[in-house]
Amino acid sequence: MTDALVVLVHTVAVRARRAFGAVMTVVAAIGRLVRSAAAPPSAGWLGRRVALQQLRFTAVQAIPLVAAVAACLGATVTLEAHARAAQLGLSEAVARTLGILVVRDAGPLLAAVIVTARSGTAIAAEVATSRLLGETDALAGMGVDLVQFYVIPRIIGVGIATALLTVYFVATTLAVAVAIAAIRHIATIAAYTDTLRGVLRPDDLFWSAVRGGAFGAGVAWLSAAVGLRGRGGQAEVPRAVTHAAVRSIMLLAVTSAVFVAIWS
Amino acid sequence: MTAIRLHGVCPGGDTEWCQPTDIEIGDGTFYVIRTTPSRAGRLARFVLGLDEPSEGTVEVLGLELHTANRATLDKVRRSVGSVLQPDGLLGTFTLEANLALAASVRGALRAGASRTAAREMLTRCGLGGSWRLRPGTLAPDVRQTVALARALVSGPTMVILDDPIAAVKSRTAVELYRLCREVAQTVVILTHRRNDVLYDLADVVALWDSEGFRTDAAA
Repeated sequence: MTDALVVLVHTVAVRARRAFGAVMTVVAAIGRLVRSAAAPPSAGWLGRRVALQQLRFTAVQAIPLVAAVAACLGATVTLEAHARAAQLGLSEAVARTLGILVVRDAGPLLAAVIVTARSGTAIAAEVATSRLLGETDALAGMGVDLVQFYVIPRIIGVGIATALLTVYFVATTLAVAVAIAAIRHIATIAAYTDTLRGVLRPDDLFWSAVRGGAFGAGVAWLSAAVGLRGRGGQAEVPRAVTHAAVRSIMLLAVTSAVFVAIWS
Repeated sequence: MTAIRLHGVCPGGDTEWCQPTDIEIGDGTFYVIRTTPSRAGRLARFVLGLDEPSEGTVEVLGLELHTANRATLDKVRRSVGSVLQPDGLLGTFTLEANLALAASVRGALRAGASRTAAREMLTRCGLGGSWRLRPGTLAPDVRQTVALARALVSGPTMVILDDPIAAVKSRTAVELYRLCREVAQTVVILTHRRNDVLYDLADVVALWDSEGFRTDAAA
């Protein structure tokens, strides 16, 4: 009995220490980010170039993928939900729920998940490779602030890109839903859009974009920070990619749940 | 004035450099140290403040690094041009951008001026017209020359170069070493093998092996 208690206390203590260590790591990373953001810029015009490259990669080049996922979501929900709801006379309720769900929750979340899969992993791999090839040491040796060069431009680029992709995702999903509803004679275009106008406030899309931007910035920060923290060695690159993806998805799940709990 | 002073420095950890070491490199000298890759790499990192020794003190350009705050450390780093191993050229940027970054950070130049400085330095190193290439496409000797050009582009007070142009042909190497001397006040070259061409140009040649650090006036 006593032995079991000792083992239990030891296990709890080890886990508590690990959890405390993880929290302190996050606090230190936030502190480093704030300090670097407040410091005079050291990467200059190349930092702006990195941000623009990131914006182009994350926003423009992701458009086909985002369109495909959004169209599938809009079509699936409309066909599946309306088929069931029509039997119960709840077609209008489905349109309302889809509008609220896509604009307020699923839009930013799914856009950010796509950004995690495509850009978050790429950022982690790129930064970890830079570390492996001695690029981070060369930059630090010149007096370049690594957070200003690797992290902040990507937070800005991915943040703006994800906000734009969220708007695009929401617009595509709703457009496909309206089109499918009209084609399948579930509702007319005018009736469907009137229903959506009735449940959505004018600023909903703006706040959806803000939430998507915040998610994207968080993913970029985590991914770049994970890439920078590697200790070298070839195994570090795949490890950084996996950590970035898993932690970003966790971050999105938790913050999305928090947002819903606060605003629903 | 002393450009670099190491007093009782020992890196700690599992390393072949296990004896506390004193090194003093005078300002305005062309100093060549023949040593192992491991010692050379550690020394360059200490001088740039990228690592801290477990024992002893490192002083660069009159500033003690172990007590330096971030601003002082940046000041030292921006006054010292360097080539480390691996060279750390940014693979996603052109040669011009690689040098322009160094010029804008170390030399505090604006974008246009830093690009002009980058092109001028590449031309001086015999690479005029290759501005748009990326490091991944270069032969080893050209890549080493670009890394050296990046160390020199901002006109640093001192350069510390870890085996910088080992793959470059002797005649070109002599010209590049002369360029180092022309641009920087103090030149510290860490070489991993005997190099008579380099020894002829040096003011001081030092040998640093398991028996310790010892100098031999060469000039």
